[in-house]
Amino acid sequence: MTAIATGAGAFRLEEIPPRRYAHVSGGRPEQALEGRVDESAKTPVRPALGLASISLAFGGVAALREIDLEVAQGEILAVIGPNGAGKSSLLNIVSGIYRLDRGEVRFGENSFREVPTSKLAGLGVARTFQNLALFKGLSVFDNVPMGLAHRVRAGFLQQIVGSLLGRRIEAENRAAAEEVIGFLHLTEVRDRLTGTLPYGLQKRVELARALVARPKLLLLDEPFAGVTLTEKRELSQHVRNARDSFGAAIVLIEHDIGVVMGLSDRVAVLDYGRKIADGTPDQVRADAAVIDAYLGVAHEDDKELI
Amino acid sequence: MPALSSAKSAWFSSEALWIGLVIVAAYGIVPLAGTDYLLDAVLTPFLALSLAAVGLNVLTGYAGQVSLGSAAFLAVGAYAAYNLHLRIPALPLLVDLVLAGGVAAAIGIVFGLPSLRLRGFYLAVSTLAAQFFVQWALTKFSWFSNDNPSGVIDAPILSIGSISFTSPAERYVFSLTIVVVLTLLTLRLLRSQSGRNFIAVRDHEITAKVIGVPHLRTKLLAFAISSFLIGIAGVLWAIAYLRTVEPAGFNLDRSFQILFIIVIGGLASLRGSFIGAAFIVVFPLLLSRIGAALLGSVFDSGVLEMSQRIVIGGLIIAFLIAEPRGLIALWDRAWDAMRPVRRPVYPT
Amino acid sequence: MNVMRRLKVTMAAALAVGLASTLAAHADEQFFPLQSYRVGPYAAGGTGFFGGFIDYLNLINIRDGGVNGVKLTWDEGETQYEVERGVEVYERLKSRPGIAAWNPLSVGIAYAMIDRITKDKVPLITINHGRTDSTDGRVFPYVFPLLLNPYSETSGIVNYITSREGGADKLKGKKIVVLYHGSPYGKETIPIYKLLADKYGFELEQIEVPHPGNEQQSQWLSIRRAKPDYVVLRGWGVMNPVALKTAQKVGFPADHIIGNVWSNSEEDVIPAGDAAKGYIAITTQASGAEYPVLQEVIKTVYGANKGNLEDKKRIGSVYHNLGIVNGILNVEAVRIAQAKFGKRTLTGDEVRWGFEHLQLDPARVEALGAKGLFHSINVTWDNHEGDGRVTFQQWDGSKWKVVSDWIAPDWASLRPIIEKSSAAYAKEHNIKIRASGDDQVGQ
Ligand SMILES: Nc1ncnc2c1ncn2[C@@H]1O[C@H](COP(=O)(O)OP(=O)(O)OP(=O)(O)O)[C@@H](O)[C@H]1O
Ligand SMILES: [Mg+2]
Repeated sequence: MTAIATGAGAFRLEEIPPRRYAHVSGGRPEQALEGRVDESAKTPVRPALGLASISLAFGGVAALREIDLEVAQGEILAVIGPNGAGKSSLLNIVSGIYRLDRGEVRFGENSFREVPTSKLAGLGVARTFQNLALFKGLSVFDNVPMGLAHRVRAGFLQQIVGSLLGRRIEAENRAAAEEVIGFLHLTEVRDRLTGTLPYGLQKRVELARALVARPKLLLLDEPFAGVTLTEKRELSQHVRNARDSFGAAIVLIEHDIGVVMGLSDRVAVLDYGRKIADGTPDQVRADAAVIDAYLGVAHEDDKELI
Repeated sequence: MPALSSAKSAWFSSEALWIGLVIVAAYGIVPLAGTDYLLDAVLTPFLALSLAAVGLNVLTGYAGQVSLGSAAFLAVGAYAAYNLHLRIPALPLLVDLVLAGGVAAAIGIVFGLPSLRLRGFYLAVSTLAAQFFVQWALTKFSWFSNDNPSGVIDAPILSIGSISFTSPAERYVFSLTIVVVLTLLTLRLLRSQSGRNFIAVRDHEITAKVIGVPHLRTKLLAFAISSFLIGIAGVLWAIAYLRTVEPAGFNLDRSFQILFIIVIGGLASLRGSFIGAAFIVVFPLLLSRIGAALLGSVFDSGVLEMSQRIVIGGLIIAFLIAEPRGLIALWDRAWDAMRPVRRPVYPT
Repeated sequence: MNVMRRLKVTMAAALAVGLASTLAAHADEQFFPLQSYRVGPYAAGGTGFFGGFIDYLNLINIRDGGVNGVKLTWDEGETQYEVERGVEVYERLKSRPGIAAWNPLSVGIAYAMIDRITKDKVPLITINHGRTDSTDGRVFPYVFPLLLNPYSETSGIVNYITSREGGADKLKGKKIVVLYHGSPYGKETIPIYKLLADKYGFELEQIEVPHPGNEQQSQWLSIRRAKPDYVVLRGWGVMNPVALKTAQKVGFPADHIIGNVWSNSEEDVIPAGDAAKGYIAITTQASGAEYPVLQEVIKTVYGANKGNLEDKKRIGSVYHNLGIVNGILNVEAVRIAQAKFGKRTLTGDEVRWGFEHLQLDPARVEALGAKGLFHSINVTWDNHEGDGRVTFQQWDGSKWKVVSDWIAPDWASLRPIIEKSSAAYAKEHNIKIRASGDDQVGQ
């Protein structure tokens, strides 16, 4: 039994650069982005995520209609839209929780009609959920390394006996978790049961669990909902860091336009299951259709920001 | 639900100390309080039921898969050990014991397959199938009881190598050793990745799937481990305790009894399994003594049986509503109340 | 509530609060620990049997002042017919002084006790039930399946049919259907019926009724198609009245249905009402209260308001009389052992010796006031059943009436099967087979 996933597209442990998160600073993200664009100019790189005419309906209600979308490696794409626009459904399709009616999902080289949910982690995809989806019965320190569960390949007997390899992997996972917990300021509550933490902290734990695997593609469904303004700023720096330090492509669903405009490289706007705009924050801000559908009307969540 | 304390916390040493103390006390009971009644009628059945409860707790408490078929796996273990002993006499009893657990685990996996599709109430109903099927098969095919006329079979002599365990004290020590070893191994497993996977599947199956927990394998593993433990508990029940095996003793009532143990003792708590088992074993005995002492002849066996059912039923409802974490939560709270708070509380 | 029960319970209570030591038995008591069942699904049998047993012990105490001056005492523990409760009661009561014998009236409990009583050297009496091969006293020195085991019951039923048909040669070409309960108990006699069918040349069909047996339409339709001369009912609980009612529906005559020993009580026929009229069942002990010993129980025990049955109408019922007979056998074993060892409290091992010499011929049975109640018994060191005779009783709509002589099963042809099984047990458990009654027993 190998200890490391070696499937196509899976992370190899030895490929992972030394763990170093860039310190949260005021450095302009565009600089990092420019470096990446230069590279991709030399060798054409497949987008980290590609969606081709995705459609999904629940009974008579069309949740998504003919959505085309691409997220380049190292790119932060924000998906915005009013409630019920289909944003979460989009992520659920990408993670295989909803089965699409038509269309195709591509991760790098691999394309799927039906995304195999249980292989996602192996493909380098991690996500958070709009509603808390933590393991309430595990402590923070046990929850976070669950993001690396797919790397543990030791059988249960080996786990009981505690084989050398198994212990090494366990130690590595623990160290990775420890680091993320430190960055996300969760150290103080690391031994608490996650179910007993306040909402904002639980959100943080979920983000930590998604980050710990250093995914190639990170799907975040409203990760900042219900946290304070200062925390929001801090957390969005961590999201940016994920891109900067290990080049994750990120799909971010967020209602807070301020955060969206500051953080994302590109913004896609959904309305009634259709993509009505897709471009840089500035382009989208100026788009008439978007203003009509969304920006013109103050969203209940972001009154304070607009 | 209680956490699996992480191995590295300062807790560990004090926990290890506690486990050590309990084990020493358990072995110490034999010379101290070793009346046959206490050993054979109270402690040995307590140990067997505790192990069964630990098994069910792995499945229901930790992995979140409800089962009403525990008694079936007790029966499989007991009959498997009996037949292995009978048909392959060369095998030492200890090997029979482990193999019997293996047979129970295999059957457990088969009856765990519906869990890949079903959950909650529907899964509970499908585990009932195990209960009825096993009991039916054991009565239907007299091969299982070696064509014994009355279907009741007598247990082989308990022995390891040349040491045989025949007196109540010896059978207690045998059971205690098996239960201690298996419980410690279970504890280790629960603190490994597999144990965290159990809880992940229980708490949020979709997320578990998304982050790459092999959730189907995890569920089947839970069924296998659980049935293994319950199967061995069945061997202890039949061979170390009753000294006989009969299918009627492994009916649905027994499955419920084990379920009640973990509900009353505490879901997802190994200590809870033991406390719950102690309660279920000792409570009726106490009730009958106290009832007889206080009420005299009014408290005959009919009244006893009725009051026992009423109290246990009431307790289960009370626990489900007021303290779903069972007796062990009450215990911990009482314990915490006696010492200063030392757990860090996040400032909110 | 009667005084005796109250007294017992008070004693138990005293025990609980730790006064047990002060109540230690006097030198002249012989104790019967009773694993009775008065609640649960089998309460009807339990109250009848243990009621009869206690009534007889009371009779001996009140009328005779005990056995040669040794008072008989007892204490009950409820088992609900469940094995682990039986074990609990065993462990609770086994340290009491002067235990004569255990009488659980439950196959499961009896099995759980075999090792324990052998180690503790106390006899285990399983009248009319228990494991068949424990008949072999060479292997099971402490177990006594008195009067009847399932094999001899089977043979007894076939012998009864033979006598009704007018001779063994008349059995050839006859057809018998055995309707058995779908449980280990029910299936126990399948090979024996086959054996006897081969021997006597009758046609045999054995049909299973799945537990609990409250629906038997299809079984009785196949019986109607098979047109048997007799149906043997090897039933249990609700299966019995349902069988009788269904038989009536398909038009099978009740007087050609022969019930076995667990289908022979009032509880088996009364629920069937009219359909049970004419039904015949085997028994080792006649029912009815006309026998002198029962008259004495009524007069002496119930007269002194010490009777154990709450419903006096059940005096003389099948289970009550089985309890009385069980009492006679236990008391006589003690008496016989006292003749050898002295008129004092005996050890379990000494009482075992008494059981191994429990020989009551019809004259002695008559002297005990039980003529007609049961026939005789002849237990020896290697035959722990004691060649009990069986009789057949017919339900007339309100009570059982004996309709046959005392019939002897064909023990000789059953013994080899029993010995084969007991030899296997001996081998499995490293038991040295006794070569004579004087052998040192136990391990
Ligand atoms: N499982 C489901 N079953 C039925 N309808 C669903 C389901 N999930 C989503 N929908 C419907 O699909 C549409 C899109 O929902 P979705 O949750 O994707 O919206 P959203 O953009 O994430 O909204 P919000 O901002 O409120 O999170 C809605 O009309 C919703 O009611
Ligand atoms: Mg949403």
